[in-house]
Amino acid sequence: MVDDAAQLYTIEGVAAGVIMLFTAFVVLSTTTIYAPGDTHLSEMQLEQMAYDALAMMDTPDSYGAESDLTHYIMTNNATYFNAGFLKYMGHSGYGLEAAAEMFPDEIQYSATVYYRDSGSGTVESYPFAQSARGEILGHEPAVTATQLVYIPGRPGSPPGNVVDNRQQIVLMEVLVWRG
Amino acid sequence: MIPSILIGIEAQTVDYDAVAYRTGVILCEDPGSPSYPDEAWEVKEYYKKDEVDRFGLAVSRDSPGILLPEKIERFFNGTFFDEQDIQDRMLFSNLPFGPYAYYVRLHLDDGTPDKFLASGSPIPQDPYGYIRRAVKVKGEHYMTINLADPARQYELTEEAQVNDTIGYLPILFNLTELQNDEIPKIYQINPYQDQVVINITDFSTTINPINPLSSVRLVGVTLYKGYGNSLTKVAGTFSSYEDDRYLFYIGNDQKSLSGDIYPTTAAAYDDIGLVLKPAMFAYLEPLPGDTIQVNFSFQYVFDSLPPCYDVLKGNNTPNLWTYGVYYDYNVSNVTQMPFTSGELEVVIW
Amino acid sequence: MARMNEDGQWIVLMGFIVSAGIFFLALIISQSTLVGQTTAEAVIEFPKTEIQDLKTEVSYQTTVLINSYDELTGFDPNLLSYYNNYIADIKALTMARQNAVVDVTLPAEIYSTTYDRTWLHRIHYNNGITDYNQNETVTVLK
Repeated sequence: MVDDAAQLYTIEGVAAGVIMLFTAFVVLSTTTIYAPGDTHLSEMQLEQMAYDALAMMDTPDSYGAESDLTHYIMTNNATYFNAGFLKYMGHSGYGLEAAAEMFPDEIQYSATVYYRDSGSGTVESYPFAQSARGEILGHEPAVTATQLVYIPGRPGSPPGNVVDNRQQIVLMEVLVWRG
Repeated sequence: MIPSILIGIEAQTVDYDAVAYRTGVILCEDPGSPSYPDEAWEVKEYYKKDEVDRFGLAVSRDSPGILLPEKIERFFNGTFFDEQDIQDRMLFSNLPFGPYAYYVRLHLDDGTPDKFLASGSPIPQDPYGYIRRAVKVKGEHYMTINLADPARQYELTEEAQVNDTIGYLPILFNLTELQNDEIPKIYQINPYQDQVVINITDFSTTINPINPLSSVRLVGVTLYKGYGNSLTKVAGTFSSYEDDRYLFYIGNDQKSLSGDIYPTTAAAYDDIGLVLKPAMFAYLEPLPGDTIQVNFSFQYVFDSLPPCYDVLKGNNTPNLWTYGVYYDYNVSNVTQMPFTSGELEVVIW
Repeated sequence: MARMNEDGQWIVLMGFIVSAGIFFLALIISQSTLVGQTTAEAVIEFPKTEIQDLKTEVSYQTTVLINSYDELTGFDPNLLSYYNNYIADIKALTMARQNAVVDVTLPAEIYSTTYDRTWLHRIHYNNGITDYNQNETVTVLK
């Protein structure tokens, strides 16, 4: 004769076991939901816009002309570069709120020119331009945009520069952040 | 931290910023499909609209950010493509996330009004996706022939001074030379992608006042196509219904080139303008190495004979292009405008 | 002490093992909906702008070099040495700042008709995550 005295205990035990397993399952399978800041979306938009600005400045407007960026580097004109770059990056003034958030008036950047020294074969650099608070990196993430620029000779960089006096390709690297 | 079985309960599952970014890339960095050298999407006629796979405004796939004016015109023309075309060929929206509402704006720095393409509903406070791209638009090119320039005039021989003489002014397109890759594509003169503009000015002042020439009429404009010296006339190119292939102006009036045009004496008008759109070159279908010739035919009526001076430099045989002017990269023949900067904004919600 | 009744122990033990197995399977089947990278991270990681920039710069300089070609003397020697310098510059700069290996071959003539000539050159870019290779042909008039 089957004794059914222990059935309740068994069912209790099974139910408790299932509840514990379910709890363990719920606890172990929690995941993080991405907050908007985690998605790196604003960095992507900033990087694309910074690259666009550099690429448009490096495109001559007619065949055979010198591009704006080549001219700025050759004359070491950080003021014109600042005006040109921030014009692309700034608020376009058309009233869309997202535009105001994405491109606030306070975009900071720091631009450096890298060149190759043909004698030693190493890559050297000199700082080219900065925005108003460009030396201080805030807490906002910074993105880089680069552009290869052709220059026809030694650029007019600050005195004591050691860039080769030859036709060459240099790299303009701009670090951009909101702040 | 949220248990994964509760993840399914979400208010919004699509990332609008990503769709806006993708749309921005498609519009700014892609020439569209099909594109030159096949029959490009911006020249396809309305009944072939379904052959377009994708829109794109760039000149070519190697020139991201440089846009072509003809593509801009076709894209922002609100009547050619309808809502479904935009959803399928630009936004690629499919269930369950589509269809998206959109707003595309192109602003150019040359003062022309902004161009819009919108789905109709106003932009919500949020959420929406947004991207802004910096672009440049390829400049247009045109040729101006000033008939008052002495280099354009020559003396007719006595034998040729017969009433109703017809003289021809040929404008030539050597397509092999124009599409030469020596020049980067964004600076090329490409009649398959850009419109070609020919202006003839100072027509009435050409006729020397002491000249016994009583009138000059523009009799017609014809097109020839061929290789080397053997060009054949192309029939039926200008008809009044095909005005997406050409535009013709006498002074400021637009006229049609079909039938009889030109009841004009010399003093009646001064400028002639002819615009050949890319659809015209696609229609002509020249073979590789061919030359296209546009002939302006002028008819002279003389008051008295002889002597007679100062008529248009041309020749008397329609397809022998001795005195023709080439539409090429020579800056004294053709002026190419520089690029215009601008920005393109895309909003998706 | 009375002997404990051990009769059901095997069954309970087997039941426990089975439920542990089901629990493990349930974990595997419930896939997280946020596996993998976000869209923006994938976009930032792919070097689209670097490759576009490299293509534009190299193809412009290559066209200048090709335009100087003469049947008898080949490329203009000055332009050829400049071109080699440009490629060396680009290689050093991309390695230093973008951690990428770039290789560009000199254009080689592959096809010639009576009035034009076709050239082929290769561009290679590898930044460890993305490997890009391109064969580009340029056709110019003689």
